[in-house]
Amino acid sequence: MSSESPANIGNAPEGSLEKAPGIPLWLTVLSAVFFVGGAGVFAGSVGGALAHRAWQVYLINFVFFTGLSFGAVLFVSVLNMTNAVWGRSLKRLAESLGAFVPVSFILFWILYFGKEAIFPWSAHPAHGKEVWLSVPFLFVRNGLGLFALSGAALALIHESLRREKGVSSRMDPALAAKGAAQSRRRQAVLSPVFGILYAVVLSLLAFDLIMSLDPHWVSTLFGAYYFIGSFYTALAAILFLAALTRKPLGLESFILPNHFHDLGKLLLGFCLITGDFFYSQFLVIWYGNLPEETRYVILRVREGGWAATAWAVLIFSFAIPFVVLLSRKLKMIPAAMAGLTALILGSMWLERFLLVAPSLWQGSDFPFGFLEAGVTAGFLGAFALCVIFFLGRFPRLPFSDPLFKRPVEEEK
Amino acid sequence: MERFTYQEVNREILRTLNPPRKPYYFLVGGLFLAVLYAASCWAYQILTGMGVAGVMHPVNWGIYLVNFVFWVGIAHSGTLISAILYLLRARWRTSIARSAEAMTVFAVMIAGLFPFIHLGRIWVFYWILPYPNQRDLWPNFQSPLVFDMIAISTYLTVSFLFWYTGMIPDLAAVRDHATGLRQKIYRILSLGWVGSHRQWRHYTSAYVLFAALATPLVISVHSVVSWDFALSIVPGWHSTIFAPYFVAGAIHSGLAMVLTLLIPLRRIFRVEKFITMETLESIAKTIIFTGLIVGYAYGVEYFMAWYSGNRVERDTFIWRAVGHYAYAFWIMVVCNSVAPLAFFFKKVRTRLSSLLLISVLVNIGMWYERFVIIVGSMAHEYNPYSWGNYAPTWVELSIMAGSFCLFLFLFFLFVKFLPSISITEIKESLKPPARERSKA
Amino acid sequence: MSRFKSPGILGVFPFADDLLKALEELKASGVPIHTVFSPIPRSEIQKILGQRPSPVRFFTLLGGSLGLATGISLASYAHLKWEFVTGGKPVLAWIPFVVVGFEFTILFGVLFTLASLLFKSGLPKLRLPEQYDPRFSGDRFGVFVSGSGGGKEMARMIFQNNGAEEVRDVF
Repeated sequence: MSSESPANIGNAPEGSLEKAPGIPLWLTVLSAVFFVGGAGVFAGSVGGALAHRAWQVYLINFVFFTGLSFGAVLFVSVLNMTNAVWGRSLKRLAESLGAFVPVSFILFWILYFGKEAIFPWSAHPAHGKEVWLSVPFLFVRNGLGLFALSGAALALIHESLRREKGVSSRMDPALAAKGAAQSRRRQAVLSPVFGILYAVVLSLLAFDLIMSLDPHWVSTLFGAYYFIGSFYTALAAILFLAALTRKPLGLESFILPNHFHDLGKLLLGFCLITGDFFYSQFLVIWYGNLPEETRYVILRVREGGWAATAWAVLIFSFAIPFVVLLSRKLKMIPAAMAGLTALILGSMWLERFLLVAPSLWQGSDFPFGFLEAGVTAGFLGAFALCVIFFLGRFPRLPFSDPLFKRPVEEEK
Repeated sequence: MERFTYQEVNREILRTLNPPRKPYYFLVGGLFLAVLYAASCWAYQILTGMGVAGVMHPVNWGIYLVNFVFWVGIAHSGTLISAILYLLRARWRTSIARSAEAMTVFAVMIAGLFPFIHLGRIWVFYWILPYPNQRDLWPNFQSPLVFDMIAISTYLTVSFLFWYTGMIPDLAAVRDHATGLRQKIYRILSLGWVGSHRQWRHYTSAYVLFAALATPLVISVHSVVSWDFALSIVPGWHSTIFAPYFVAGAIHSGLAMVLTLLIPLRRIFRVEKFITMETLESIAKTIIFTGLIVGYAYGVEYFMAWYSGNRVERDTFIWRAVGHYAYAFWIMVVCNSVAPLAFFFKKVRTRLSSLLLISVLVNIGMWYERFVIIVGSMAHEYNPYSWGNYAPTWVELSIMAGSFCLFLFLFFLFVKFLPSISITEIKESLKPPARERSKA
Repeated sequence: MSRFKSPGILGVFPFADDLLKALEELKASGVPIHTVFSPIPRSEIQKILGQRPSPVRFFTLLGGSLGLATGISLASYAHLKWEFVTGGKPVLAWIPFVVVGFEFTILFGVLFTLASLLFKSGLPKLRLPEQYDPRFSGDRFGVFVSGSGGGKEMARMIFQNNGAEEVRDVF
């Protein structure tokens, strides 16, 4: 893998695939409308009677989209660490999903303003946990963690993009090669660092932002459940993005049905792992039957509205994807995969809803209505704007990556 | 992988099946005697009673169960390497898959012995099986011990069949190379395989399906074993993270055992060109990964014990680090999560001596981890009046030593009678012989 | 399935590309190919011979489903026999039965896969067919065309034109 020259791009004509003429303007406008509208709905509600609901759905969206974004960068990091060749064409798309990271960092700090609404222990300190569950300490440690994780993510993406400039502007090949080797080394070091930070920081986030909402409930697997579920969600999002942008961005010859097959298999694997993590917690808590643990689970599987949500999540996040992803034919149809992954994304959002809302919601009705749709649309708009911005500015394929080759249609 | 011809591959690997030299016979003989000794210790225990073992209130599960979990753990890396890495299309698995699978089969067999040894009244072992009887008695299918019985027997069956099926084409190669009685034996073992296109068509399909079925099985088996502990309410055991923690730990110890066995093997058989440094390096990198997971689990367990504010939980975890078995705890932490970090340095993971050393340390550490979890928790439960310590007796230690000798004994037999490197898969990874290339 | 005694002609090839060319020519001239021997599986061979994916996977599905049903039924039957409430758990609790069902699914799936593999491959077989050459498990490929007469001579010619190391009549 030593040929680092621009000729490595294959037959792509200079500049033709590098900018993205394919992202339609209406999409950008729609995303902006969603974002502004959502922000407005949120801002309007936080002052009034629905403040608790507003902060609740803000938190849900925050943990969902943050996990998704970091999960996508984890995919990039794993590709680097395993020197995998099959997924290279998807690398840049995954990085585009990571573009939300700096925005998520800003959104984290806004949580501070909702601390009374979000953290039940801010007004009534949890007995025995006063040291750990104190607002300043929580924000400092999570802020630092997110800062480190975001820094690692952006550094990783930056290194991956750095070489594109060298390639496209046709630098002196020797210099380009040297820069390329340096960039490769840096990515090789950053990837495991990011991986470790991902596990630690997202676990911390899960313990602090989700598990602490029910301060006297603990589950040692909770952090891992959150970050594995986020990775599963991210894989679904990458597949969704690949299916959606194949034609508009002119990537048909680079992202083949084979890639959908492979990514579909990986998605199936993580569907099973996430389901297994869920079951591990469920079985242990059910079997031990200790009241301080079962309270959390009983609320979510017995009480009317929550129970229906729980069944929906089980069916749409695990049962249906499992059955669909077993079929080889279905995995290779981009449209089918787009539909399935959209279902998974929606269902995993519901899953985060199910983790957060029952702990916070005191009312008797089911907190799902216009407010939730609005704030979620706001987050979705912000996320989409980040992805569009990224794909508009940077090459859509990792041309300078030496493991990236024009894929040959395999016979299967 | 270097460029070999098919003939070279056959020759080099079939060479390992040549009659061995004298040291081999002494070694195998010695191991067999050790196994006989351990078996006689077991017979002594059956005749005299469980009192000759150290298990006693409060620690009713002693090193027999530590060994049980340890050997099931060792078994896992074999299936990881042959099934999971097959599905992930990792090239470095090819030369080590067969030995790793053999390791799995032997380790599961030995693991399966330990519940019997621990049972005491071994003549009633069959009561756990679901069979119709005149009193209409059935096992309690909600019990994790029954899960164990089902999972371990399934795992033994499946891993044996997976190993054997993978060997069929290789056994045909041995048959075609052998003469006389040997040929007759291998003819039976290879089931009459001829490598016709029909046979290959079904074979390749079946192998992928085996791998796809074995993968969730291997994860479920050690999860089930972990639930032997997690489904209780013993402090230090009742923890939701146990299932993935045990699976990661199992793979960790199994990979270390693969390194420990294969580094001498490749030297003795001079198959370094097949089991390359790149392969060993890949194993080492995977060990870093599993070591980090295990370290994460230690950290989370400690954090959660503190965070929960549960007095008993906190006390259990503090006692683990400073109490009677503190030495075991610190061996566990250093060997499992600290030592593998050395593999981050390329020099360490490409040198045979450091690979071997760290792999042995990891095995020791993982054994002690099971010890700390099982014995450490039972010795220090809720009621201070019931606290008590446990020490294994000579009977238990002899049987444990015997289990290691049995494992090595079976493995030594395996490498001399069956092809320990997959001939067919190595050939598949090479470019097929083509006339154009041979001219060049 | 190869019958024991079928006369025909066998071509032994040391090179895979020669083999593939010979197979294509045989197919083009309409000579029925009885068996292709190889030390390793090659997807190109399967393609030229027009083989669809193996039906073994349906047996796997069948076995898996049967296993799931067996596991859950066995556990349910055993529990309904005595109807004990053990440890506060209901008599029929699906949560632990998931484990039992899962293990049986895998077990039966594997057993059915293996059984169908053996059955479809015609294994175990005591005697090897006449046309088998021990080198086929080493580094040689073989093509066996059965029958006598015109097809046989056609095959002989194709073998010799495509670099067959050895062409053997099988009686």
